[in-house]
Amino acid sequence: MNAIAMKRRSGRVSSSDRRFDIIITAIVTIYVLTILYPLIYVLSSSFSSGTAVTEGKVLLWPVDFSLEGYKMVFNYKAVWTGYANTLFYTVGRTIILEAQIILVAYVLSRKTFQGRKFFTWICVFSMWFSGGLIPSYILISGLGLNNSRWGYLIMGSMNVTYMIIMRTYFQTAIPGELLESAKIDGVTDVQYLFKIALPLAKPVLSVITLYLIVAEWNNYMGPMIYLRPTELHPLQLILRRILEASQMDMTMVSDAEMANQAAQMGDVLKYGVIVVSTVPMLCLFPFVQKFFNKGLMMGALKG
Amino acid sequence: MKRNKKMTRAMGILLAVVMTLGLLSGCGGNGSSSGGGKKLTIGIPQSAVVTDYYNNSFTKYIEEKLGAEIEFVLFSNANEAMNQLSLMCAAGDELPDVLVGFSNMSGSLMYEYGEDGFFIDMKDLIDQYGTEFKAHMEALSQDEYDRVMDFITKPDTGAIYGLPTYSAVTISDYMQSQMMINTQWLNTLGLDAPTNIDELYDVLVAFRDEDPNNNGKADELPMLSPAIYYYVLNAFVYYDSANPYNITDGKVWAPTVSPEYRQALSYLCKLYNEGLMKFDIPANDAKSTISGNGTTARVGIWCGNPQTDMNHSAQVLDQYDVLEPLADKTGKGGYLVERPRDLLLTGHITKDCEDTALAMRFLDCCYEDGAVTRRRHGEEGTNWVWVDAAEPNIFGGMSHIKVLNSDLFGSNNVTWGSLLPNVYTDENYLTIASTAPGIDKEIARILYAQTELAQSWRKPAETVVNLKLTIDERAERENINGKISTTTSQYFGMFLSGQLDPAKDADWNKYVSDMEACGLSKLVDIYQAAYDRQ
Amino acid sequence: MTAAKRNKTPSNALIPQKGFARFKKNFLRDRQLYLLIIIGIAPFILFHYGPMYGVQIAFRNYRIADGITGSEWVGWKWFEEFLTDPNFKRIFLNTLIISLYSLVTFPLPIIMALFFNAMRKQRYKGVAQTISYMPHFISMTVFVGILNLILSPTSGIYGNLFRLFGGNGYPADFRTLAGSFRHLYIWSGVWQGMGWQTILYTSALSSVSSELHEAACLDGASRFKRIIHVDLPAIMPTIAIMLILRMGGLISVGFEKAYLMQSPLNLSTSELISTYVYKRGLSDFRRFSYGTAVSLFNTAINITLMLITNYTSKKVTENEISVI
Repeated sequence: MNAIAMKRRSGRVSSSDRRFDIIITAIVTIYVLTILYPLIYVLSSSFSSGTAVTEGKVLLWPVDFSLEGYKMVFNYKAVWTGYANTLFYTVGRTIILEAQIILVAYVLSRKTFQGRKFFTWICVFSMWFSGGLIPSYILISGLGLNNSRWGYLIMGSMNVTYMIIMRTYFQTAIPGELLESAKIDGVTDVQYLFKIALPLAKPVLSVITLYLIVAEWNNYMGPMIYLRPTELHPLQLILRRILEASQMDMTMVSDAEMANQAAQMGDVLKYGVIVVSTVPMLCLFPFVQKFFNKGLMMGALKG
Repeated sequence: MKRNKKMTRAMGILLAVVMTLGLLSGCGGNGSSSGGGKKLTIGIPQSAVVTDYYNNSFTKYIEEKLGAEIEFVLFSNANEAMNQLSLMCAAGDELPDVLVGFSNMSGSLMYEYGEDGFFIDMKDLIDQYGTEFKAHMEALSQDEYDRVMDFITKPDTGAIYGLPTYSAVTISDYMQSQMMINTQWLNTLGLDAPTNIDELYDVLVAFRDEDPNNNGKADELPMLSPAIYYYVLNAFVYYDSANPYNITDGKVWAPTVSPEYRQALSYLCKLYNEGLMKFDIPANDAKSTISGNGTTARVGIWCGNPQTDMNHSAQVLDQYDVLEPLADKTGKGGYLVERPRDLLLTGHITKDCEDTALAMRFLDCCYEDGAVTRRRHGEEGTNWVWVDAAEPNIFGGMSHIKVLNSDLFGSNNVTWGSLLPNVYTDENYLTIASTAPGIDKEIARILYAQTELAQSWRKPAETVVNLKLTIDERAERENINGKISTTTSQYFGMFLSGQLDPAKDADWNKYVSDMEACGLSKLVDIYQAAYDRQ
Repeated sequence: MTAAKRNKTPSNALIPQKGFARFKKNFLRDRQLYLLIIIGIAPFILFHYGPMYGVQIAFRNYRIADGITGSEWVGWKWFEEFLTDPNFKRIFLNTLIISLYSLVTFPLPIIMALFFNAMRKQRYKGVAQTISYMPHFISMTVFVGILNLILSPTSGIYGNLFRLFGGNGYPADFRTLAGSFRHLYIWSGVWQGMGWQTILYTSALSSVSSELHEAACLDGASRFKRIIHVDLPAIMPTIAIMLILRMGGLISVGFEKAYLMQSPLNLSTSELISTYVYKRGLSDFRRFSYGTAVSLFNTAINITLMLITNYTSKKVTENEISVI
């Protein structure tokens, strides 16, 4: 939106504004360069030989170029089932959790809703208190939801922080008059949510979707506890296992040789696995950015 | 809004595809087991190096031996596995028949599982079916036998809830236990190896200032290691970091609050502040620093395991030799800390096991020489062979195993990766060092020198390591030690970094009183009581 | 909520039946909303409140065989053990200082988001933003590994630069110094997380109407002024909510990163509550009671801090922005 406005005015940009532009671009550039270094490092390491990495020879570009790591990653059968599982869990759980968040956030954003305070407290209270691992496990195991793909889909409960962000957006960014006029037109509460509120909340919706997707994609704690059979494991759990092999417990010194070999294998594999497991997430960003821009258009239309 | 619909539809299709995928891979999972044969479920922490547990030559080998089918319940890594196990017990889930490789299990935790009925007492089973286990145990010396049996037996009832992995390998005792010095640098500078702390100081200064590696750059690190201060400490007072309590003339005392420890701190501060010694650099960095640039060494004195702490392509190890433990000025001290041999709990039978005899036969089978060698070296015939004409190993003993290729520690389906119940002996460990070219020869030389030195070096007359504590005393020790180890390291850091000064009475007294508050005297009393009982 | 308050107070005081009648009337009016929230919150109640009874193990000596409700009641024993621990004072202070320090960096993502938003080259902006999110995906183990490598005085870039500019030998090792741990911890965290945190603000900025900017332009406001007077107020609600939520988790500093960055030399600043509890045996079920007690202690502090911030925000914004 700024861009549109800016273009229209580009004829008369003052010198102080130009100076401001240069400063901002410079700051962002420096920031981006510092960020890029570790990324390039990981990428270069994934294309380097294991010994070059452990000897600290890789500083920026690949040393002893090798595809050994990737070859091993793709020969590692679990990586593929892990991919499929992660995709399944991420899509399924994101949809379910997002639905919960939208419903609760929408209702709690309605200022005249009389149970508002009660339900808000229920949500916020749980940010501080949780029963802990044991009773949760006993419950899930009692319901028979553990060690099953479908069970894992269902067992999630919404993230209160995202719910509050969403609720605040509903409250502050959508004008109250909209609801009043809709009411006069005879729109029901449910219709209002799906026809008016939700489309207007697209920018925040896209952010929360992104957050949920990424959180599910990176989640290993839940699967580690509730999904024991290997064929149910998501990619992150397999990645973790490989990372751990590279830092094998040195209590096993009596088998130093074995530890050493396992560590070397881990060194070769780990950067490749990180690249393989991160790239799909990075592909998401352009879409998200498009959504932001759509949000801009909406904002402009609304005003 | 149209776009919204499109998006929803796309999500829907994606979801459908994914779910089909999920179902398909779900069906393809564990092969169904039929037939009336015997079956054993084994719970094991999963190892990243094993690609397949079912289609696995070690599994086949065991199945053949037992005449039974094996099914696996795979846990996460050894640490998380403990958590998963406790959750399964708490929820009343069915446990696998046998648990192996839970190497983080402590003795007191095992007693608790046993007492609560989750693990069964294996005493009678061992008598009946544990032939291999008993044979291996009887081959140990009396001291070692006592130590292992004491470790696995619950003190008050005599029940045995777990079987051990024990390393009776001679060289592994001394790995990582001694300092190594760069003799080439000493020769270049015309110096002798230091024998006490004053000489050490002079040598380190020379290393720092006189360019011993002759490259015109001040790139030498006089002394470095993640844990080298233990070895300098031992010049002043016997200090075993795992059990920092000593016995002199029937009295137990704590070296961590002794005047000698205080002197050692001052000395270490001096070395550290003058740049003569580097501490605790992260492992990967240490590796590349110790290895130098491949041909030029960078480090004067270091300690560690030449097998794992050095790049095998670097050719600097031949410059190093083992350094004898140092003495302090008074001529006292100069100890060498002996690392106790590895002893872990790795095999348990659970309450849900129906065929306990089969379970015990399986555990016993793990002790067999054939099984041990398979786990270490892989398949007989492909990876190694028995030979009649034995080759000498580095200790002059004989080894009847010839390794054809040892390249199976990448991903494989030949082993199970985890620690299984086992007694390692020189016989099945020392094969690799026997016919070693290149760096392996140098490693063998160092290990041999370390072993010889350690066997001849003086030791404290008595230590607390083998004192027998009651169950309550052990719990108390665990609790107090947890606090003390944090306090000791925190203060060590503060002393060294100059925040506190060990020479100042106020600072020193603060440290001592914090140690007391953690329960130091109480623990000393516990050890004293245990000592007096014996 | 103000309306609800107004409804309740007089009705409770005067005629109770009427209060119920009003409740019934409102309930019927809001029946769709009730339906929606019940659907949304049911799984949450089941999976979050179902296990809530487990909190009591903080006051019991948990043993697996006895179960949660059957274990011996020990009252405040674990709290006492934690609070009288000689290490308590130091680790509590360390945790507090790290949390407050990290609070100082709270505005950085906001500033960055404003900068991103003010950039004129759209393509460069998109690329820069995408790159800035990426470090979020590097796992902590690998991230700390890279940090160690860069800062290595012997082989890292840091050491090489030192020698390039005429340094002799090796520079001080920041990775192990007690004095540098906090800076390293916080600023590496900014480095890794700032881009990711801008996302929320960027999205909030995207709904600022362009008319406002145009109007400000006509008034002759410079770009910097427009950021301060147009953009910033527009995202203020988001900022306030994020701050309140942040306060609610202030004392809970995760253990993984600190644990990976610890060395005996920096332990006097790097030992935090979470790392200490972890070392005392978090995965040993006999320590579950202790661990739960410590997290209850943290909770008490967090609640207090959050309620204070929430109250302040409520006062300042006249009930507009608050979490509760």
